[in-house]
Amino acid sequence: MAKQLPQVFGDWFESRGWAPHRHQKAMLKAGLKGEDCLLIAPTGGGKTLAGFLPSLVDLYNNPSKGLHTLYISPLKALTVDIHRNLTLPVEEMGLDVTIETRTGDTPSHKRQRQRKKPPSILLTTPESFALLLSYTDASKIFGSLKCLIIDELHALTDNKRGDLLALGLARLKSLAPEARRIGLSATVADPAYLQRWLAPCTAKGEETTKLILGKPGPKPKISILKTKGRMPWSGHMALHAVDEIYALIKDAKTAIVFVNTRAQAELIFRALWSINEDGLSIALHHGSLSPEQRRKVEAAMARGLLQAVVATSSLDLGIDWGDVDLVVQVGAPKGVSRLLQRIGRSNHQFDKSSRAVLVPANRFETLECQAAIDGVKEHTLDGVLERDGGMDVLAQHLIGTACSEAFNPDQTYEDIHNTATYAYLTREDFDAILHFVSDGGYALRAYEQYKRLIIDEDGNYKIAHQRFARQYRMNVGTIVEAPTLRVKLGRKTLGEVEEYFAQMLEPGDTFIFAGQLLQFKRIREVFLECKAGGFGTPKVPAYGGGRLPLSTHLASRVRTMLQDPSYWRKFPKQVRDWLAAQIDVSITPNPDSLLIESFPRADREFLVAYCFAGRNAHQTLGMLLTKRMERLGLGPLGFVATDYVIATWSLRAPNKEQLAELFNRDMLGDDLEDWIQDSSLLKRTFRNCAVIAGLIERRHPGEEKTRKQVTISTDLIYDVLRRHEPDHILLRATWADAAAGLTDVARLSDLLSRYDKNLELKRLDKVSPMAVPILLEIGRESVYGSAQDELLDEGSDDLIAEAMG
Amino acid sequence: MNKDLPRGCELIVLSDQHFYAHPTGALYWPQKQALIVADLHLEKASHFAEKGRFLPPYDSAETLNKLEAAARFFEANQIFTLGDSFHDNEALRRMPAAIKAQFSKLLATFRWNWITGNHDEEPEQRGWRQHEVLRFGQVDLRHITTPDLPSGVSEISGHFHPKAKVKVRGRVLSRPCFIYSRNRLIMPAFGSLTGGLAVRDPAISTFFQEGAVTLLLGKENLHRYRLPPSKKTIKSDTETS
Repeated sequence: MAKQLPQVFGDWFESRGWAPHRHQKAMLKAGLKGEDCLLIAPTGGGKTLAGFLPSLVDLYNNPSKGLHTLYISPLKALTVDIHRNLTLPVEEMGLDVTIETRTGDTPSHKRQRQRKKPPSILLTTPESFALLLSYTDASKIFGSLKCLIIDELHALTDNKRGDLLALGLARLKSLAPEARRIGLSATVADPAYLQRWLAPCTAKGEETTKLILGKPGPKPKISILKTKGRMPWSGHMALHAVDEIYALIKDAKTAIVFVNTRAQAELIFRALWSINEDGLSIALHHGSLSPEQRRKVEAAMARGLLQAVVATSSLDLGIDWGDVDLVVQVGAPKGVSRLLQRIGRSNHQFDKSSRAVLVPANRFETLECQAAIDGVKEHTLDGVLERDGGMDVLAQHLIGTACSEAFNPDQTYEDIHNTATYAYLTREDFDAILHFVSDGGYALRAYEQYKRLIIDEDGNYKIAHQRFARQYRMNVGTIVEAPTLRVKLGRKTLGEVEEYFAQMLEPGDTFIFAGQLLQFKRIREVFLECKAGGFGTPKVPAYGGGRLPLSTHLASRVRTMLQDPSYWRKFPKQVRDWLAAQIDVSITPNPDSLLIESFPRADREFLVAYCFAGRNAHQTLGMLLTKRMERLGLGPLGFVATDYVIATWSLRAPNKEQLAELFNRDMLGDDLEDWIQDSSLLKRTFRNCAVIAGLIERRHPGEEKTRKQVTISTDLIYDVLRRHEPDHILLRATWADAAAGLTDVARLSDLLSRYDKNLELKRLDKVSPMAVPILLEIGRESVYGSAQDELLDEGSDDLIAEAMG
Repeated sequence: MNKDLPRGCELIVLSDQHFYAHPTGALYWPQKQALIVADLHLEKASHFAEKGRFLPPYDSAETLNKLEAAARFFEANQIFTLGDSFHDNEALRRMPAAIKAQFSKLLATFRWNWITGNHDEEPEQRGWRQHEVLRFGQVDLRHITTPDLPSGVSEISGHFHPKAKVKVRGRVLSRPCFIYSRNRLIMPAFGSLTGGLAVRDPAISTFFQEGAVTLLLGKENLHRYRLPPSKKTIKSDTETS
């Protein structure tokens, strides 16, 4: 070590009273050998310094001009934070190293200067990295690069931002063949996948990427809030426990109260303030608040001015707040890894254990919370989602590459095919995407004269016109948000709500946003104008895609614990009584069979299946079940799904043979395809794909302010395309996306094949205790199954219905 | 619902004349045996393609197929188009040969009466006459509705692509629609890739302050919803801010 660590570094560590951690030394050693590595360490373990140490030492030993190290983080805020944390030791050691950030917030003159004269270390995001790669001087900028560091890698490998980054890495391989790669990650179940993800050639990933493990921190102390009140049967808001949450906050120095959705954040925040007799400083933080609001809360938090902050996943990652001594998780944690990540926000210091209290919102969530605590204790994490990269993202990347330089399709395909994310990609699909990018890729070769990419004399693809490069740069990125309106209170912008929510408001309606009671005035352009105060029951804005489904791992833990009554001692009395009542009339769900209860109620026949496959898979299942019930003449009337259970109601009950037919795994054939093609889910997915792939744009040069006028209804495009070219590559990309995401087809398929022969039907004369929660959800959750036209008919006959254009 | 009407249609009466609104967004005038359509926006997709946004090149074919089917359904012998028949002045030049052939056939089969829109102002290149306004008895056809209609005169226009949003069971559904009052009818856009403007938008609602009826286009039917008279309260409210 002494040999590897120059004197000035050793002195600096000593001056702080620190000694380098074992994993920091290992990283340095690997760095000097030029190895790619993946460092897995808990939060607060000096992970960031471990990542940069080899670069700092190399820059000290071999001073060089140009960009030496590129750091990529999923959060803008994190680049700022790292900048501050890294500048300090560099200045104290007097190193000749420049460090700069580059994000969407960086002023354009600085960005231009950075391209001409890059710093030694550049801190950036996946989107800004993609932009840099699209410049004609990309090879100059990255030519000197020695090291690439990707922070919070686990937060990137399961989404499209990660796809974009993976493609950027594939390109970097030819621009900077010498650059070694470092991944920094929180603890994950399957490090091998991250190793392969990071490797330039995924087939050899585990051999070429060295795995370095940090010392695990002390075990966190987690408990479930034992509420004194009545444990709700259903619902997700946990408002019953607000008094108790308040008491927890009061006892803590600084607490983060994590919730699962933005709507829940607003409600809990208001409920806490309504009983805040001690005037505790409680703040609110979620992704739809304006950036200024959020920065303010973060700054107050960093200065230790807050007693508590109610937050969504907007605070899951990143910034170090040493003073947080308590994490409260309100609502079910949904996964062990996610819970660990959140718990890690407390005592963000390596040697102290974190403290967390879980607050289940209903009885099923109590089971889930207990399962998550067991998971943390036994350190069994959720499986990592190994995703196939999106073809829409590939389309975006190919345009970006062409903006920078003419590319050879064979070489480009090979580089991309070598990544873990796109290892699945066939040459045919690659060519189809290339065709799509060039002129739309339609069978009818209508747009040959308008090509965006042209082929030069060497057979390489290049951009046909600079204006396409400008278009690309204005639209780079994979985060597609639902159309939103900015909430204005006087001159102040509070944040954003989805247009869909705004459409439901009538002048005078009240709603809660940014922790305030607001009264809707009107919509003007992209603004929702409102004033403070008002009367009546306020609405709460909901946002799409807010809820994560229950992880497979947690689900199987819940099944196992339900089977074993001796385990139930761990549950609060109310929950124990509930389960005991269940076995009086039926059985509890178990891992070996799929429990399905059937009972009559109010002239309807109910079917309740305890699948534990997560909301998305259940909704897909509900659609398919009702279709089949229709065919069997059972007269289905509707269904409702939660993370745990799916319930249908119909005119007639299925018998045993019909039940087997209903749950037969072959339902994932034509029915599924028919339904998905028609569903609004697919249209939403198509919109995202169309935007990412560049079929339509979020922004167009010179038209930034009139978003409405450039937006073409993607629903119409989808319908036209489906009628005329159902095999079009963009429809296939959409289908793949929907199958993996919103419909969770893979999980449903697993479920159906596992229990194909093991359906356990219980015929009851009335609703069972465990079925009560799902029946209470009816009317609260949207009921699916009605075609839009039927709904419109229903509305026409209804006095309540009103044209509200 | 009137059983004597053709399938899926709704009756609209303007200046004692009967009109049948059809779920495709076309309007039939039995007395003239005329099909009235607004805002075909032919070759909209290729207009975007020129700018590098490759919308599916099937919009003109869809629109013309739909138009032909509607004309045959009613056994119309003439077609009135209320302007913006082409997305821009270059549309006909860009139109692929196969579509052009289909279009020419339709031109020969029916008698066409063209009204000029704001998207297609240069008719001379196409070799037919376009009108700012056509008056038949007490009924005016034009592209953009006028604020001051002479008394006794009714008007049918297009331009705004009206669409209505209705709240049903907590969901907002949005559909193109006909919107009309005693003497004024604004037609939905007939083109297959045309978006819409909410009827609540002041640009439209200012013409229907006394309230209106909307007919939302469904798959096989029209759905009737009433647009209430405009509320003045909203205005006084904003002045306080």
